[in-house]
Amino acid sequence: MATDRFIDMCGTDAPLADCLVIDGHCHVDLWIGMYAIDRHIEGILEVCDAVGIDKICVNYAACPQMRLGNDRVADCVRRYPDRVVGFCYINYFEGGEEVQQAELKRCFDEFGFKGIKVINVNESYPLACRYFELDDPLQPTWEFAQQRGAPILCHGIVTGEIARRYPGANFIVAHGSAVPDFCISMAKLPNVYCDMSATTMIAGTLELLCDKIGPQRILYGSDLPASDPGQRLGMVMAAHISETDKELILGRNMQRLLDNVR
Amino acid sequence: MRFQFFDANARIGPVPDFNPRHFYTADELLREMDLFGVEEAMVWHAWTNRWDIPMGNEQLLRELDGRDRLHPVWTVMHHYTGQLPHGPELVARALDAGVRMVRLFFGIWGSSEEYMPWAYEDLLAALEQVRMPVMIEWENHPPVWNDLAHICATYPRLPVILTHSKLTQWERNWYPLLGKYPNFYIETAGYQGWRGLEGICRLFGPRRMLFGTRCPTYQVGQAMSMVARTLRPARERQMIAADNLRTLLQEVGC
Ligand SMILES: [Zn+2]
Repeated sequence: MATDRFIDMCGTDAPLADCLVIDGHCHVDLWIGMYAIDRHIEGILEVCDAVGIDKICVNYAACPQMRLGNDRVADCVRRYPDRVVGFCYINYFEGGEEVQQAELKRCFDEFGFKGIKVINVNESYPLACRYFELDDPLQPTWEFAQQRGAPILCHGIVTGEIARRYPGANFIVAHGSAVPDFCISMAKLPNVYCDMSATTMIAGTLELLCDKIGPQRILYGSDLPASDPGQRLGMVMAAHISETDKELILGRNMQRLLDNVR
Repeated sequence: MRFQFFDANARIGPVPDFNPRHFYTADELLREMDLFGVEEAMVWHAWTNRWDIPMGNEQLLRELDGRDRLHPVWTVMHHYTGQLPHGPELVARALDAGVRMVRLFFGIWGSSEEYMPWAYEDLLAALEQVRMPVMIEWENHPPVWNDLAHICATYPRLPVILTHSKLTQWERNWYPLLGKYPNFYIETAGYQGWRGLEGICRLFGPRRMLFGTRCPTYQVGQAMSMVARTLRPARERQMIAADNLRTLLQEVGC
């Protein structure tokens, strides 16, 4: 049998009990046209308990109404404060500076959220920028993240220029392991991280990223409930990297980012 | 609880890409299986869809020779080009060579290969005659669900196994197939749906899924972890991990 305890556990149902596991990329409830059983928070935590996921960072990015979705996440945080970390979804379509600031304050100060999620829905981000005649309609959000030292899970949108302009904010490239070239191109920016929730899962990707950007910059994420954590955890467990690197990726890196939030 | 695993979908042979984590020989495959704890594997050869089907099938037998835990899977197609014998003859040769599963590829890069019912009927009927499972893959193309339905309906004693590189939570087309055709099976490596295997077990029972890895393109351990960590009774997970495949193979030729 293997000398690496994680590799040894791949073929068992043993929960990852002796290691902090934080899933940095989660949703809850219904999801754009998806079919899945038990997507509610209880159904999600049932699986987390079984496989040994300690905390989940939840955002409601698929909701057509930003406040409604954030309210749903706030409800999960209220009911499971030790398990659920709220990430505030900001939709640039729904307003400019005041709206974004108010929603971020509401989520962070009233609900205790610790992170932010932005997404370039349907690739329309550049179009929205032109409508609002802004170079960067999310500037108020980046500024807030910079002030609070908050992590921002960015589905698209983030560029090297933005990351350089806000060194106090931490940018996570959502589904980053599907675009390893992009993550590697950002390697010199210490506030850019790679989320490994991706539907492509070619063997060797995690090893390559560890080598090129370092294990401290990779965060475990599954995109649940759009994916199966048993499989996504297996991608880390089975990787040919050290056990210490696996512990960083599975939870310690994200804990460090969350501890940094003011 | 530790499960026994029998991989329905492993590959050997070189492919034209570079990845330091990929392996190409039978012995490297066995080393990987030992590392993770996989007992046996059904193995096909990359030459069959990257070079030439008959050469790849022959090479497969040579490379697996003497390795009892690795079982040959031939790639097949219709006989009209003359590359392969007529269906009944091909199946007889396969059985002689110890082959108990075959693979069909449709939509490979640069090829127009598609399922034409009238071109494949002799081959599929011969396979059905001996109940030799056929694993079907559309490469670089979504599965063609109507083709699968046609094959399942026309050859009801033929086990039809779908493998695909990526099947997500948005995939709903296979539910009618699972509901309608008891000879339709899914190989698990490319499926990544939330509580996905559990959901299929609840609706259709645990008999319809076969553990596979798609190694070396995908990691062996991630495929194992998904089956092992499915929230169903251990007996059902063991069926998916190895027993369902064993049952299908035992029925070949019966
Ligand atoms: Zn997501």
